[in-house]
Amino acid sequence: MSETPSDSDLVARARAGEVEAFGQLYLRYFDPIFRYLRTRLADAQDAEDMAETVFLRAYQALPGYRERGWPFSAFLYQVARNALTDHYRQHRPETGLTEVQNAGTPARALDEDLARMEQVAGLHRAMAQLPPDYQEVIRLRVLLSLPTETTAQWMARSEGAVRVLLHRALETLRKRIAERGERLDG
Amino acid sequence: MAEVEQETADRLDRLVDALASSPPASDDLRPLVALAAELRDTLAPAASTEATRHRVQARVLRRVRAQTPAARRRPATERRRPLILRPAYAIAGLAVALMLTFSTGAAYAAESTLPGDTLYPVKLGLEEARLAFSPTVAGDAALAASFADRRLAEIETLTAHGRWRDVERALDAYPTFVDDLVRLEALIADPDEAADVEAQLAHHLEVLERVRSEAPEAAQPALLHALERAGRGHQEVKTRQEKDKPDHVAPGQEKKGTESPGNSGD
Repeated sequence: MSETPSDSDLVARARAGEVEAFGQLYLRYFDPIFRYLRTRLADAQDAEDMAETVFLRAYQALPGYRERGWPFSAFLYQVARNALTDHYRQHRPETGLTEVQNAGTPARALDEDLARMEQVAGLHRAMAQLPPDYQEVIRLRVLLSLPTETTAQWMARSEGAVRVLLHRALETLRKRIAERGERLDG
Repeated sequence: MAEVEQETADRLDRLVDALASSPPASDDLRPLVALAAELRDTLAPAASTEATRHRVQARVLRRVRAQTPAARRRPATERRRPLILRPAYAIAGLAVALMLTFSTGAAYAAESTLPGDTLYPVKLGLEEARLAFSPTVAGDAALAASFADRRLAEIETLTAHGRWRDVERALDAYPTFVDDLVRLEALIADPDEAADVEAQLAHHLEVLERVRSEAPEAAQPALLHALERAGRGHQEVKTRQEKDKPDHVAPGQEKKGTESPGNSGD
């Protein structure tokens, strides 16, 4: 029975030119990276193209990657953030979540009644007004359901700091929504 | 104060982790847990589909392979290993899946689609499949040349139809195809091929300039980016051609027997 290779093993093999090892890393991390890109880009095709760019850039940057407590997934996340920055520089100002249409469930969005859509738009507006690190912790912890440990690695913070950041982000968002009179279920 | 906040934050963190199982939240955190649940329910992106994962994988690995030292060393005429021994099972699987999933009619219909059309991803998938089954780097290069021309033709057609949002999308994808074309040309290192690619990219630059003169302001950044990449690729191929010429003289190197009278530099 063969053991599942660690990220470090796969990175070392990919660095040595073993493309299949990089293919395994791709399969391991495509979904979280793609979903993260979907929270930042309104268009699914844009997210797909961006995911391709991210993994290609990551491969090209492998010789310079040193693990040292910085997991490969966090490295990919940083590459994704850099690629997004380049993308916005070339195209238009960062949209945050305001213009991101209900990323994963367009069909359902079409079926929403008007009141529900208003509520969704209110959430988008309130989110967009948060500081960038508040938006980011909500994206990673709440929208992507990443564990605190992974979020901490990706955001280069301690787990305790991530928990506090999330608490403050949700509290601030709740207050903003209350000030605007947006209704929340539950 | 900080300790209290950390303790509250820790409790909230556990509740956010348990959102899916809808645990009863304590009163003070109930509004925040409800908000987190609402955000997840409303804004969380869906998981990627199998088709998306495979499509992007095929594109990434193809480009990665073109950059590996082994690929650079491989002569253009060398046959690759038999398909069954090749590691690119995923790509071959994609091709088979495409053939099984889509009827011949749908695949045929997809060939004439444009960016923004429903069947356009099928067209790209079929192109990936053709590349996966191409047995030589020279074959890859020929396909890359054909696909780059296709992307340009799509940009032209979308421009003629005034579909500017889709033109932008096509322009965003275009540089990837130019990069592939230039990289594969470098791998096969054939002077005739280089001349063809140089002429092809010169034509691309002309077309893109024409499109640029018609495009609205919003499409200009994407057009400039495409022009820059096509221009860079064109220059790269041209420079390689110059270097490959037998009488090429590197900068700083003296050219023998070609000095004009009275121009010896003394």
